Amino acid sequence: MRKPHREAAEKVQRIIHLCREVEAKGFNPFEVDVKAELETLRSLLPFWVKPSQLRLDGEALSGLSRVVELQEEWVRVRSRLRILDPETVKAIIGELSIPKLAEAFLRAWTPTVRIEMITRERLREAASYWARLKPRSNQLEEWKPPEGGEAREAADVKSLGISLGEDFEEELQRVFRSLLEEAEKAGGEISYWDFVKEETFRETVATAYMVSFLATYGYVKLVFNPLTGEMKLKPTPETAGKPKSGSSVAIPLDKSLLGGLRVERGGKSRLRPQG
Amino acid sequence: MSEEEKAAYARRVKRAAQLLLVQRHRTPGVKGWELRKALGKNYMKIVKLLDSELERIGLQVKIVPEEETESLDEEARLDRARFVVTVRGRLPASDAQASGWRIDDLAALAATLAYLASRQGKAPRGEVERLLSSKLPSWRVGIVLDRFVRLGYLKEDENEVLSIGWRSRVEVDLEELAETLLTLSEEVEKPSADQGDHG
Repeated sequence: MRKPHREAAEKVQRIIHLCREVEAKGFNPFEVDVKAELETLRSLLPFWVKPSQLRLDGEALSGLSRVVELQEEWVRVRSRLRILDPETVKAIIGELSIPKLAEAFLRAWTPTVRIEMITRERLREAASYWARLKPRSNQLEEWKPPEGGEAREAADVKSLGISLGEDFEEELQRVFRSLLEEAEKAGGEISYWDFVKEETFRETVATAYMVSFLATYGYVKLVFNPLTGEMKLKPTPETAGKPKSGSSVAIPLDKSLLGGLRVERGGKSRLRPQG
Repeated sequence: MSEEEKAAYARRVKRAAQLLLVQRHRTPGVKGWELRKALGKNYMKIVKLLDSELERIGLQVKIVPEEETESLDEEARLDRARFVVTVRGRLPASDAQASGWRIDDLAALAATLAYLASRQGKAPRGEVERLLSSKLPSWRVGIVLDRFVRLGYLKEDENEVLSIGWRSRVEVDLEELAETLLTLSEEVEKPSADQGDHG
């Protein structure tokens, strides 16, 4: 009679796992039909002979009683918060603009206040660190650039299909002309991602590389909208050729973020002449 | 009360202010047992005096009970609770932004906390990311959630389940947040309904 025992044990394991999932992941505890599961446990009781089987039964019972507690808490919380089930929350979030959501937060927010200061322990740590720090002249002597670094970087750029020779300037101008055209069509500014994204990931990286040069040498300005997080490119021919000072911006190019790009070679690119 | 007693109380109130305001640990505030050790058994009286002093400058003392201490007696619960100083009343948006908060981060935190509250305080990270992706560029969602975890507004366990963090429990009135979201959403619907009537 092994098979019925194994099936019975699997049923109990399923109940235990269900109760654990509800507690661990915050699922709606009313999705567990406690009455039906108790009836299941009651019907399986004749199968239990060994102490380990009875322990399993006890564990399932304990899990179900915890689900009942969670159901009570669920009702209590909802009646207090005039709640807001998950679907309603999603609908409200979809409806409200970012400023409105921020306004809701600010009405409910009382930030903590504290005074930051240096403590004796931190001063001690800092003094110890300073004492261990080698003199700057020694640091420079010890550091050596990795061998073949420049050659490796050049090889990486070439693998993107960009020539670092005399053609580079021509490529840069071609990308800039393309940017001017597309920005003009878009009203003077174009979304960074709309311009940079090509058919393949490799080509996207290559275009992003060229755009970074254009930005560094004053051909284009990167405009960032903190409200929407959108980045736009605005051509600035009046400052073309004048290297810009100031902070740099790191823009991650993640294949998963760029979504649906082919990784292989091929496809159209602003870096190659059309037609 | 004699002058000596008043002076003693005043000294202890100042000491309480130092303990609560000056950063000593990674998390702001102090535990009740630390206050009891520094100020004596009737430290709660000192805390109430300090609260009334702080009210004059728009601040307050908040007591945040530790989780799962409901079954303990009052003294034990207070011992383990965290005492922090917070702003009394609401902060204008300009002040929030001046202290480094982006408006879309505030919105994301509101959405995340409201969603977690509707899910008994926790939800898988993937679900929260999908929710926020409807409002923020997808490349920012992960960055923003990591920031909230780092600051203590959210907690994340090894199974990538997010829950409401200690800082949210201290600083955010979730009931008020839910009420305000509902009210604002009703305001958005009402003009649409009115236009429909006239159509």
